[in-house]
Amino acid sequence: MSAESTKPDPHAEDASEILAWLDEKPTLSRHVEAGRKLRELHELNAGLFTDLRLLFVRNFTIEPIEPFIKVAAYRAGFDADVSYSSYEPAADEQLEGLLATEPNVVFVGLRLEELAPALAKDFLGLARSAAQDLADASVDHVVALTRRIRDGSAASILVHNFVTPFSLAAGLADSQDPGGQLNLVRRMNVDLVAAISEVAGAHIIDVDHVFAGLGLRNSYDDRGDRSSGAPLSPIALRALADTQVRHIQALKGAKVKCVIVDCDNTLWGGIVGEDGAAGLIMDAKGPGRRYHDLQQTLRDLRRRGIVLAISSKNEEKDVIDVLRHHPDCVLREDDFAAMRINWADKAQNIESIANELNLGLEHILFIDDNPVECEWIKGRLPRIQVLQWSGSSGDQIAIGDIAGFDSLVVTDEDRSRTELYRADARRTAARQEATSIEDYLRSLQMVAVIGSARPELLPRLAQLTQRTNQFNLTTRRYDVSQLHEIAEDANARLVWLELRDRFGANGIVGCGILRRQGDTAVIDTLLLSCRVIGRGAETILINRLATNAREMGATTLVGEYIPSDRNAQVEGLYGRLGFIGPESHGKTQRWSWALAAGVPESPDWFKIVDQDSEGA
Amino acid sequence: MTGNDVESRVRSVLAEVFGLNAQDVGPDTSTDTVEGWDSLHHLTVVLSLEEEFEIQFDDQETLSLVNFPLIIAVVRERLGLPEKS
Repeated sequence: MSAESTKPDPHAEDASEILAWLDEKPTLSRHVEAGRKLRELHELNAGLFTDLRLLFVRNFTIEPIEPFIKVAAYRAGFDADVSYSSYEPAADEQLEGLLATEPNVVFVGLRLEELAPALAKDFLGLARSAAQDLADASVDHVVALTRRIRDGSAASILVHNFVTPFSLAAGLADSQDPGGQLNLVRRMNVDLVAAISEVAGAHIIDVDHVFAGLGLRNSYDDRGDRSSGAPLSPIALRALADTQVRHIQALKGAKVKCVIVDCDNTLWGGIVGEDGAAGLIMDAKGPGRRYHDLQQTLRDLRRRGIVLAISSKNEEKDVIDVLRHHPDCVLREDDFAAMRINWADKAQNIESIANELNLGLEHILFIDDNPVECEWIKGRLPRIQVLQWSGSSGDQIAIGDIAGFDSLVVTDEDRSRTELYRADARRTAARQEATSIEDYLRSLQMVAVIGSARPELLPRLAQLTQRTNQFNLTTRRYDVSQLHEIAEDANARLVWLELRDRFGANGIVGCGILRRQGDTAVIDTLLLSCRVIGRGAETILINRLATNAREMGATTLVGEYIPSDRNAQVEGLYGRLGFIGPESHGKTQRWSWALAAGVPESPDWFKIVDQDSEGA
Repeated sequence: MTGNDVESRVRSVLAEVFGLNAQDVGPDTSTDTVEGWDSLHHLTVVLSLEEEFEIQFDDQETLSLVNFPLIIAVVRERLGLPEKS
């Protein structure tokens, strides 16, 4: 077969065939060709990929990354347009002009070798204090540049940290010295992340860690550095591009929200119904180790906010007994938000768990050792991710590496999500005992806390706009930097709602955005977490936004509804609350409320605490 | 590896990098005739050839890889193949 016969033809192929051709032999030149073919495909099929504008603010030749990042972006569903700053961005007055092109993501990649050459090339010639001063100045330089980008752009900012040097001026002695070259760069990276975490919408890409994974020696291309100032090897460029795109996906929060696991030969070795609890293995040493490791991986995911559930063909009491009493079991009963332990079809059990937790199937990962079950689930529920667990070490890495778990921020709500779901189960029980809905709602003794957005709450509010589908009137998605702009805008208001009741706290579960346009104030966003739908809490947000609208001088409050696949239940919400309408503008329905007549009121079963007026 | 293998593999690398048909890559293909063969794409050509043949060029060789016949000659030399008769 000649080489040219394997070349992809964009008219005959779809994206997956082009990518399969690339994966056969993922060389740099094939990345270039695949990127070109995918671009042609994108031009023939508008909307196949989402447009994504990337800007590299850099001080070295990073352009060879382009074929890799374009392909990585296509794999994630983006058509990436890449541009670059000059080599001295901090001194460049044109930088604002580049930011004005409204990139979606700005990478800040400054190499220490260019920023402070003496630290890399003349470390032993530097006095202690001089080395520390150079280190501090380098960190300050990156932070100042990041802040400048923040001021000039609404983009998400991803900042590369510094790569630790491979060749050390002092050789082995360097590592004996807390002030040595290696340790100095490590401390710079700690200082950098501390400072960058203070900048809204900016996050670190730990390039040092990525290159350590590849080997620092393999990451560096000395010939490219000498001949073109391009110091990164193809494998380093490819790994960096993959990481960058993974961060871009993670900006939107974790896609996988729930892991449903099997028990026998997955959580533990052996079959509880046959071997009995005493015959199961899951200890930290020996053959039980792989089960122990999986349980620990799952526990970490639970702590990151991913909900765990069990689907197992067993007698329920046998499994519960292991979870409660087995000395080697890492995961306990209260680590799981839902369990279906019975002899029914697993596909039905998974759907039932998804319903109970109010999660779409695309947000679920199913792990089972049994290939027959895995194939059955794939066939019946094609939207869920399935991982067949063999217990090999490759599987451990595969679970930790599933990009769908990535998010750049872990909020308090994430950490306590399982507890939130378990409190919900207790509420459901109370509801079944109550004689009427109103009786139930009163029995909850709900306290609603409402307030204007503060910077530390923006990550959670961004997460709500990105994740909420059902009770979301307009489904507008915002990231932290966009919310930051709204919070700073004198003609906009961003408010949040926290709920608690006698079963526990629900955390921040609602968000509203108001934008004033002349006499009219428009409710741009109104959403509630699915956990609190049906309690009337939306009226607290609307009441607050209406009050804000009057204070801003608006005479009319407009509520918008934009239909999506998931939000039909709120279509008539504004009408039910007494708004007049709708008037249709394309897909958007607009409902009006005359503010002269007062503001919409909320039900009396809430005790309302206004954080803004409390401190005043 | 035969000389023909080297030629066809260099052809397909250049075709992939510059978006050409492999059969159109030949003796005339050079930095002067191929649109877009600038210094950045030159680096891509060099890295791609190194990857394809699992070799490393030195700085001087890198500068000489400016057309199809020279690339063939340098790659053959690196691979220890006899000079083409």
